Amino acid sequence: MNNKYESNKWQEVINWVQKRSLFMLHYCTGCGAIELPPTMTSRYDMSRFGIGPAATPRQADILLITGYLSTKTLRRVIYTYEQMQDPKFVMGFGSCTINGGMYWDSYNTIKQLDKYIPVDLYIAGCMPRPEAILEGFLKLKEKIETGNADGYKKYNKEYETYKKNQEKVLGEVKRRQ
Amino acid sequence: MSLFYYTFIPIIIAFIAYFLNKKIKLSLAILNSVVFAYLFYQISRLYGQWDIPYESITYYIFDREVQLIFQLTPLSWLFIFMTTGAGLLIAIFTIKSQQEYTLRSAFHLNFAILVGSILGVVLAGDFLSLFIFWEIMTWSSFFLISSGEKKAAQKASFRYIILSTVGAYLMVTAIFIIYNQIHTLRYSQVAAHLSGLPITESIILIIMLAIPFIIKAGVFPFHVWVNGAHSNAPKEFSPFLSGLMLKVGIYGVILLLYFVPLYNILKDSIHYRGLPIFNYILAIFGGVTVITGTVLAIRQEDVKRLVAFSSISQMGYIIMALAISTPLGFTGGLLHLMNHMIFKTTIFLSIAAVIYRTKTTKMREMGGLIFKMPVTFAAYLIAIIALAGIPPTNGFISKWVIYQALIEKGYIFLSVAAFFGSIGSFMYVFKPLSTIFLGQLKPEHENIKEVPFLMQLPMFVLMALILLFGILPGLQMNLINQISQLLNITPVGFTLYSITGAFGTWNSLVIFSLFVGGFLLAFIIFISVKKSKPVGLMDTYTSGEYLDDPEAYHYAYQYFRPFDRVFDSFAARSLTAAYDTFAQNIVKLGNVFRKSIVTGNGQTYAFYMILFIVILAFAGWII
Amino acid sequence: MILNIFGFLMMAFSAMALGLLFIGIARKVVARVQKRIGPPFYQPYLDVLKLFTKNSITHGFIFDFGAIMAFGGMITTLFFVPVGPFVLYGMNGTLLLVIYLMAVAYLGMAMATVGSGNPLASVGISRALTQMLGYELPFIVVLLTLIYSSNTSSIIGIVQAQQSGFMNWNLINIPIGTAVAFIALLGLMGKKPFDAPVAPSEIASGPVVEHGGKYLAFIMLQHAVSVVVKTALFVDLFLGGGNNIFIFIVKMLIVWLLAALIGSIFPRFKVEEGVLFYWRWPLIAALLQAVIIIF
Repeated sequence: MNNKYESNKWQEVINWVQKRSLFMLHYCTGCGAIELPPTMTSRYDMSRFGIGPAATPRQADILLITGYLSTKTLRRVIYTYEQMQDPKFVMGFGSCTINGGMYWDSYNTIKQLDKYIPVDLYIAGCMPRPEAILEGFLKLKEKIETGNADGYKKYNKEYETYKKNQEKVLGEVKRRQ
Repeated sequence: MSLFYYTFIPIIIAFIAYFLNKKIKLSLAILNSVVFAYLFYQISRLYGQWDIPYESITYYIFDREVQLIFQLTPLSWLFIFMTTGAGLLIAIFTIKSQQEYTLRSAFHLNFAILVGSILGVVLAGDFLSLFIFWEIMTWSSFFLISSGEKKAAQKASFRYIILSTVGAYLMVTAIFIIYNQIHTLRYSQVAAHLSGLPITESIILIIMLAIPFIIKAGVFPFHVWVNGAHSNAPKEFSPFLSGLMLKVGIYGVILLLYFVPLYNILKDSIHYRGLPIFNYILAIFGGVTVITGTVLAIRQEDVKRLVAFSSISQMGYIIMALAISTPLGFTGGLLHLMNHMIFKTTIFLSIAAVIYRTKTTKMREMGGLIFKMPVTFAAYLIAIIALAGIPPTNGFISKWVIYQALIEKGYIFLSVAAFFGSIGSFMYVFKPLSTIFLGQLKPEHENIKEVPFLMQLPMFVLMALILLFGILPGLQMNLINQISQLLNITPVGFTLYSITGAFGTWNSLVIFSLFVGGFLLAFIIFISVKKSKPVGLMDTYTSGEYLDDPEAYHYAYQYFRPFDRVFDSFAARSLTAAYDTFAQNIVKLGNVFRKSIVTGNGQTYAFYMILFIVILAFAGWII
Repeated sequence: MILNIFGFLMMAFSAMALGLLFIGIARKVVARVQKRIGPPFYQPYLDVLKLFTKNSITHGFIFDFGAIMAFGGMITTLFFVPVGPFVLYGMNGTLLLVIYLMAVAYLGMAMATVGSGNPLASVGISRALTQMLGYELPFIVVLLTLIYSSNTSSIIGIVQAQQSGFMNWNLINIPIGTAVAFIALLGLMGKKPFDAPVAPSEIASGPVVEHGGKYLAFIMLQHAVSVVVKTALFVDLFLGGGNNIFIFIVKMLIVWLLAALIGSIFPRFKVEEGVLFYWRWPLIAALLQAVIIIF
């Protein structure tokens, strides 16, 4: 396929479809997971934006990091993220994923998520309420439509950097591929 | 060529080759294949020559004339054709597969004798020659089963021989009674005689004649030998045991139901929906066989046992269809008989190929063999599609005819049993597919290769037959029609690719073409979208854990546990155990007898001698 | 010939479209039951389109072949079920055939999913096959009764026998059987009380655990076609079929929505509980109906 064509019209269509249909992985870490049920159910109902839950990383488009990440969990997040298929998006919840939040001096949580996997969008708050999460989803949709949610491309391009960072905190990370 | 030779050639050649085999390795297998190929060729040329005269040997025992009669009918042609065909394929298979098997000379000797004796059984024109070859068949198959590699083979073969002997005694008693009455044993004269007798007497005689056949066919409640024998027999013999040996029992049932027309004898007895109650009970036994076989097959962890139970269940279908005695039932039964022979032989051969490579029959010790043995997988897949009765294979056609026959008469229980067996068969055939061929590959099977070409060849032939008869059932129907005419059954309408049932017509050509259309459409959609990236089997969703051990990630043990839980209490009441208890009680009774009479004390025996003399004296024979 | 191929393609694609529409409507309706707004009714189309554009992984040729077999088998089944006046092939004796043709799709899906090497998929398939034995038995008994009472095993024949008005519908003729068949239909479609095979929270959506991208899209399309096949079959057999395609689709929609509504209020059966449930009341009722009709 012509690369130029792909990057213009066809990609726009794909982005439009992608934005309208997002499967979110049920991956719960930290304290933000508890905000998701209200977001899904009748009070806030995220399915009206075309966002639905998915059971496994193979089916999912969005990975939510809902709070602090201990180094033990980070390993699982990396496995999960690598099993997801492109295009895939990561959203970080709350201050913990930005700078460690209240765990800023903990010995076994990571402080800055985007050193290890690329993050497309952060949602502020500790923890963000469902309104904020929905607002975040809408922002993500905007970014997808304009083609700015390209964390997965960055991950493929700067894979060595990410890998180095990951191995710095985790030691050896076994890869399947 | 005289009909006698068909029986005696394999037997004589077998003995010659047995001694030859001591010198040249594998000569027996090759010689057997050549002989079977020759017989197969000759038999296929016999097709259509139903008017060749019967042949007989006459001799005298105690001044009584006894005739051994050989005759060719379409029915016996079907069986000798199937026998030599299956024998040929299996002999070809064994050339490569038995290289490490120590008893292979004995195997081939017995195998050739077995094939010869089966030809004798089905070519026989009277009950005495039937009985003689029947016994040769029983004993040669007994030796074959007991030459299995496992220890349990001996126990299983004893169970087989004991049940067979019981049957044989009943049969020989019935034969003596009949001979005593009419001094001949030709089928036609026996049939006429049985029709003339009082109804109770003829039914008792027929039951005595039928029980050995029913035992061989593995019908409930005599199915207890089947699973042990099939699972412990040598892996190359199991296909023949299931594909042919069980069918010879069915041949006897056909003989009694249609050739000696049981239906006519019982015309005036009690009826259920237009069927004599005796036939209906036989059909019910068939239905119970279907259910029992299915439920027990689902529970098995040993692949050969599983397929053995599935054979039991499929035999139930054939018995059920034959017992209801309608043209459709007869046609369905014979169709299923042929098709079952084809697909069950395929299944057992593919499993023999797997065992040849992995050296185990436990399903949980295998897995992921699909990429290592694709031809074996294809053979197994096509055969199970046929067994589960999924179009467009031959298995569906025969089941369809059987359903038509059952619904036509409105037999609710039999229909429910048939459908239970059919849907249950999805479950049990999927278990080996999933645990042996799919799933994770065991580390110790990393270096397995596909079996040699000579072992693949029979599987290819059988796969082609399954598809051929799935598309052109008319080829089989042609022969069945001639058999129907022989037995005075209204033929079922058919063309090359369609069969007319009670509620409609089956047209396999249209179905096949629509299948091609549907698959083509799916394929075009599939290849026209983005290509996908191939990854290994270990790269699966594991809830975010890294996987080291493929064995722990292979779901194989107790595959249908939730279902098995439902039937736990049912399966605990084993019929085998009931027979065993019965046998133990007889042994106990014998012990009581032994302890009280045969004491081992010299004085007791002296007392017996004196007692004997006293009795004789009283009787006035001495003095 | 050309016309036939054109009809073949039209029928296949319109069935996919109709099935996806039905699924979308059901999602909307279930959302309203749960006091949600719910996704737009065209959401399933977007989902399928998106999945086709996503990257995907494959676990070897059996994974691909199974997906093709599942979809192709379901499409083939579609051609034997009359949808209103559109009958591609009106062979006699199709009723039993349709039941077995569906098994092709199941077998394909089962092979693909177990071929992925994921034990959760195997658990799902084991549950699905077990449950199949549960719901098929009462369903088959009802079908036998139906074949016996209308004296044909052709679906078209059964439809024609019900043509002359509401009172001739099999709904009126064999009411208990219809109810049983509807309960079996819930299991056949994997609706809520009987959705143990795909339980997302226990076994990570079971059979489709490894399916992403186009494979998931294939499974969704197959599901869409199967919704059309199964509801159309039910309408043909019990609700009088229809010469008018719109009336027929409305009938299908009623059946489908009824199933969706029932599904929206029930929790899930354990597998063996589901099987035992089917073998208790529905089977007894079906046998009762059979006895009434046959004797």
